[in-house]
Amino acid sequence: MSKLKNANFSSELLLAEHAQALAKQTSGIASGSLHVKSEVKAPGAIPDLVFYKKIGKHVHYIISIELKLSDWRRALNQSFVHRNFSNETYVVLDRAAIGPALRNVDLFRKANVGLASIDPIEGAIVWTCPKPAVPFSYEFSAVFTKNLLSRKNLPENVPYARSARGKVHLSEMRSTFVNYITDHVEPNRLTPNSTLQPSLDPELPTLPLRSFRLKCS
Amino acid sequence: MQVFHQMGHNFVWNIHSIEQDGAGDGVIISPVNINRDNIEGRFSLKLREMSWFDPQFYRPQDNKGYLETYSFFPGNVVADYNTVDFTDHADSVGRKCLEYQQSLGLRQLVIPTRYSEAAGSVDLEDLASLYVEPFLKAYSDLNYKKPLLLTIIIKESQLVSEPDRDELLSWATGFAEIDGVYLIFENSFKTKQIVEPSYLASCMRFINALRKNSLSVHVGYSGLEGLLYAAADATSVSVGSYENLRSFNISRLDSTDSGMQQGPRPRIYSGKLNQWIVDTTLAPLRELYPDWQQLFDDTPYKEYLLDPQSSLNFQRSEIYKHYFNAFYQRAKLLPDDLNERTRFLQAWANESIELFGEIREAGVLLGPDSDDSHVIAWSNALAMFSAKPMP
Repeated sequence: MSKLKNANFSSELLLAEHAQALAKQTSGIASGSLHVKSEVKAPGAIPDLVFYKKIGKHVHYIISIELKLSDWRRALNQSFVHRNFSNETYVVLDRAAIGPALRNVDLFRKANVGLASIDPIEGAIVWTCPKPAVPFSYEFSAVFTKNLLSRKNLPENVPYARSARGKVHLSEMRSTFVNYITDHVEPNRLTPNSTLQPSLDPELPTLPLRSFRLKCS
Repeated sequence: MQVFHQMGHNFVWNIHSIEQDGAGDGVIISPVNINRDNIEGRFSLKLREMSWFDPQFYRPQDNKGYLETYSFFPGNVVADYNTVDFTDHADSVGRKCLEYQQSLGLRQLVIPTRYSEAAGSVDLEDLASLYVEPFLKAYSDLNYKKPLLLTIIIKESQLVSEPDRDELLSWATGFAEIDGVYLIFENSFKTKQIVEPSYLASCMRFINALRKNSLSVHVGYSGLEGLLYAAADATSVSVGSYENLRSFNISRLDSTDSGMQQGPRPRIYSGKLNQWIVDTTLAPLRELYPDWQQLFDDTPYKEYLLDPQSSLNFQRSEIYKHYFNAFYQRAKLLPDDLNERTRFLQAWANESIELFGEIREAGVLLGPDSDDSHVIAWSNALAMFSAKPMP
């Protein structure tokens, strides 16, 4: 793959390391109320980063991240597969490669996959957020949760990610999540050259946070 | 158009499919995958009478594994196989190989070929003197009457090069005793399905040219694109379980090859989409596309395959038996009239494209290995072939 002209990261590994470091700065991760793991094996996929909330022995909410230097289309396809076992999924690209993805942001919205960019100075910017959803597959969620917790067996009927709690409850949990990982919401700030018209998603919080900025529509 | 099972690893699935489900018109027996002593035990006479044997001389020097049990295999006749030494044995090999095929009671007999690693044209004189002529002599001496097929591997580079292609066509049609061709297309595409319409149209034209010379054409190692070859009046195409049986690659014939892929995701054939749908797409389809079950053909295996609680993995026989069954049903729906066939295939391609559009509209991303790019190529290939049916 040819390297981007103004790439911020020379390899996917460096991008992943930076994203992990950023994730660890977030208050939720730092305080231990949220967890993050990298490269967790799932049926048909290996998300680069996985944020999850654990209550007792149970996983309650999963956000899967696909990191790519470029090639948004491939990342989008992979991220869509993550919806089999995640409540939210995001593609995170090098900020230098975000342009083509932004021009196709409708495809991300249609697929209900979030889009974010990352660079060493600005940190992360979330350009579009997915709606919280129950993962598509109960069976894949069960396998993924076992891998996430590194457990061979889970008790039956545990309320892990694919619970029957309904969207409202998931939205609340998602809001809690975003509180932890979002620096601050900038509903009306447009990025130069961006065709996006961000608006404040009523489901999203407006609380001050640290490392991530959010520009959801 | 007939459909034959290209046998390989786990060939018992193919036997079950044809004997229990009635899916398929016969099998192509693969000596790489079975000991000579077991053939008559594993394949009933009734099945053998519907089938043929591919001697698989593709790598004549490689006689390891089960090939060691076939005394006529070139590597067993000449130690450190080389063409000079083999020349002295070519007649006896041809005779023994034909006698063996005849003894099995098969429907037709096959003249093997060797595989050439070289990218350009193969040495046809060499092939004729080492394989074709000795087999023809034996066929005549033994006074056999069963149809005789000539094996031809055609590389992508030969197919697109007019002189190479014409030379091969002239050569293949120059043996009066030959009744047909066992034709194998070799290409180097990296995609799961062939998405080059010009390549597909060239394949169809090549088949058509052989058919116009009154030869039967049995296309081996064909994938879903095999349906297209019906428009060119192919006598038969093949179905195979693992991917290495649905697209020719010489490495599949390594005698040490297990015949299995390295754990790919399971995929389920959809006749309506003319595509294999990866299992990670089934749950989104179930959630987002209301008519998702209708995409899959009714077979005895459908219910199991679509049940989310089935522990699907790529080694489940149900995946392949479903495919054999569904593909065969579709092949049998094709009309006899060639013009009508082309219209039929074009309508199938258009229906698939429309369904893919509906699926996308429902919010399901199918990914590059399960999408419609190849069906669009089919539609174009059919149009190109209709406009120019001969090479």
